Amino acid sequence: MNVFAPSAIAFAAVGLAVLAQYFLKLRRPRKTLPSTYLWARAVVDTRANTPWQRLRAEPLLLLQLLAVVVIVFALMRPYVLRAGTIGSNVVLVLDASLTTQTVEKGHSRFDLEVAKAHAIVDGMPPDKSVSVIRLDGRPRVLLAGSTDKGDVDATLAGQKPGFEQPDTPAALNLALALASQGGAAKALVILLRSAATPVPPHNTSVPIQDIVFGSPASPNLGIDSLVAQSQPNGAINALYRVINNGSVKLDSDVELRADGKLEAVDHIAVPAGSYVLHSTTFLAKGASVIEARLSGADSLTADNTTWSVVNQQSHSKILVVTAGNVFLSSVLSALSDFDVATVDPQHYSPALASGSDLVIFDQVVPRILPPADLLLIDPPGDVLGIHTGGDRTADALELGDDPNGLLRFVTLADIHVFMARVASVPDWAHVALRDRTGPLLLEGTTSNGATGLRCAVILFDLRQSDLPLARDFPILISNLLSWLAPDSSIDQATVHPGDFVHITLPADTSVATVRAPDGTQLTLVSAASDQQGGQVTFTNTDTPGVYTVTVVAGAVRRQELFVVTPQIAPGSLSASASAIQSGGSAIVAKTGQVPVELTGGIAMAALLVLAAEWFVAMRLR
Amino acid sequence: MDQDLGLDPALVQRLERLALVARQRTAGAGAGPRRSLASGSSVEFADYRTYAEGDDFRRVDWNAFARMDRLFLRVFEAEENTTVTIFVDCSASMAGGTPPKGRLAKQVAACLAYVALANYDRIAIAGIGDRLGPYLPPRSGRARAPEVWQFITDLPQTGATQLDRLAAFRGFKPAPGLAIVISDMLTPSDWRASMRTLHGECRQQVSVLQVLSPDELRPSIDGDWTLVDAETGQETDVSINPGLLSRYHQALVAHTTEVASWCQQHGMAFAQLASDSAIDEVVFRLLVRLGVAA
Repeated sequence: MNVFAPSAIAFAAVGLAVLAQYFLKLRRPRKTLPSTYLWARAVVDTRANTPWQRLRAEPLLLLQLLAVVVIVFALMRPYVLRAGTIGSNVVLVLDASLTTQTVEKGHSRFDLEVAKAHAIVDGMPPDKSVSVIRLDGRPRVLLAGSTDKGDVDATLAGQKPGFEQPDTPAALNLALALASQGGAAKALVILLRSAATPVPPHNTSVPIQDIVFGSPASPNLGIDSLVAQSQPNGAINALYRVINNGSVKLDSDVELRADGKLEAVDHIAVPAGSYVLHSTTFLAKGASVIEARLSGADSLTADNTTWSVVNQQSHSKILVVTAGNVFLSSVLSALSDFDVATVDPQHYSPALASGSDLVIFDQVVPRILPPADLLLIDPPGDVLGIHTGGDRTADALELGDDPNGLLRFVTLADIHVFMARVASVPDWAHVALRDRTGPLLLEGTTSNGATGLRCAVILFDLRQSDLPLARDFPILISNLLSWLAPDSSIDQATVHPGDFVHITLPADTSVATVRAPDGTQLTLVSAASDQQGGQVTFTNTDTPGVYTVTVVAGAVRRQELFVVTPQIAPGSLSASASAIQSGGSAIVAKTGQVPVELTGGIAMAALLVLAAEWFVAMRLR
Repeated sequence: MDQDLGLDPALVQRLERLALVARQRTAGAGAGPRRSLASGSSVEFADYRTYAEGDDFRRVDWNAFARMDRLFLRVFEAEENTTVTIFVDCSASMAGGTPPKGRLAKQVAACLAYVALANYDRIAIAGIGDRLGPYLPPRSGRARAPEVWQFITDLPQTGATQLDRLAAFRGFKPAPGLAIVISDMLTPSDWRASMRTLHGECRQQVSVLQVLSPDELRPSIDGDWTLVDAETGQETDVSINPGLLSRYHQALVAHTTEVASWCQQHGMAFAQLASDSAIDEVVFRLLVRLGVAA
């Protein structure tokens, strides 16, 4: 027997209140008698003046406590599992996470799940409503409330196992929300899952039938966390982790390939339920992708290969428009990751800014701003909604709102500004640095005719401050350039299936595509697109492997790589059904069984106890 | 007739046919129909004693008065009257009950006093509460009845019942006689010792009349109550149900039996009176049947 609402046991505290009524003396009306001499002799036991009295096992007390127990038991909604027909609203939760690809006895867990789902649907009466939810890293409803078995079968047949880790709580919340729409009493959630998929404790009134596939003892080695770095001499240092999720010690060869060419083989032995970190070095000058692959076969092959990107070439282009600023030139020349070009304001034209990732205007504002990220230093006129005026004296610096970390590691106490420019703050800007009078450094993202262009504005002449002489000046410029002109357009070189990848495109991007490991190509930007530059988010990271991002900006064509690798936590393959058992409050039902609630009968028993209590109370009076 | 005590003339007239019964010979202070331990005037001289208010002036020895300048009474071994002392419970508990217990107690005291006066006995009245008093010294003669009745009427009803204060009666150096104690006897005080003093040291023939109200004899309250004692203010929490009523009845029977048995063992008469009883029923039936009056 189990219960739907175990938290209702908290109502048992009412029993303490009942006991207290017997411990504590009643607040009674007073009645004056000529003499209480005889009454005192008749009730010797109650003559103490203490606020409590000795507890005696009176029939009323016992009956009232019994009533409390029975009522609390009824509130906990106990049920038993019996063979029978399921409710009218069935929600199938189909586990499609990575470990459902595990093959045991010739069948994958996912295939068994689908076959079981088909069998359940086929055995249901025609009037049953069926919903299907896919359980992976981003659970979603595949089919909602259909009474057409053909739709359900087609939906199930169209599913394939993925490479993501399961988000079981989200899937169950989704399922319970669907189930509750038709009334919890008539609903049933059937969870079809891999033995490796954990189920957290769940408090719900909707019964959940948990059907587990697979054996926790299946032998499996997985490889992940490959980190590869290239050395100036062409050597590659590779560090990787091999995980043994099985119950016995396993060993395997690990093949290391550079751009598809086999370069090294390691032999790794991993104890049961553990992992081994291994490092190796081999020569592969100019290689861009390193692949590590387990050569042995096991029950789950999807986690036998992983990749890492090396020698990613990506230098941002910076155009500096200045009449001469030795401080700025010096610090930019020290930062080797950027291609820096300088032009006098009189010779500047928008064409010169074409292809630049960042344009720096030092004490000059062009009539037309280029469609690129901007760093404006002491702008002499109105620009980007900033209304500028004359000079003002500045006082002590204060850190403002700096969401992009431009002032990270910068010690403000070492910096003093003598004169600053009077300026307003537009809606798009955050005031990163200020004094008591006004802003000194603005940052934010503005449109400027395109989308997502980053802009920072220094509202004082560098020579009117000791900032260029401060030791933190290079740090400030580095922070500014890292944000305004990142050296790679991809924010993460390695992601897991289901993760998002943010790709920053130059302002004059004409074409941007992503080619997946299976050869399919997705176009992010084309000539017909409204968006030319800025940041785009790539979400189709379902398949592990190497993804190639190709960006054509102006006359420049650039390619960058990122990889999607499966993620397997140690022990995840053998998570087993213990998680749901330890949950306690989750409802577990075997196949073919449905929970039968006993609340009605127990409520009748509670009524009988209350009637007996009333009868005894009347008799005692 | 006295309106406060509720004694009507017909009742008083009937009382004249009664006399208080002395189960033993007593030494009286005046001539009367009762056989005394002392010699009466019709036989031979027995002794002198100090004059007390109410004594027959005819028996004063004027010669002794001339010599000693004090009044002495000549005592003869003969038929004598006796002194009847009625102790009336004046505690607050006697004011309670429906009807009040104190009313019947005073009625009984008044009737017995009149019976004594009508039979040439001397009557003394003493209130007993948390002390002995007020006290009306012995009076004799039917003509003193109004005074006695008024005294009885004016007896207060306050304080606690301290029957052990009865022992202080020895300080009055009473003559042997009859002592009638009218009380509800609901007191934890040591009434036995004081009764023994009355009976032994004070040479009184003691009768105990216990007056209880119908509420005390047959409680009719129900439920949960905090009962407050009218005398002491002591509170007793009770949940009155048939079980507790049964235990109360057992306590009442045990207490009554205890008092009655003790009185019987010490040669004292005992009667229990309900405060809703008619006074003539009490006097002419109950007290006569118990031998207090005849």
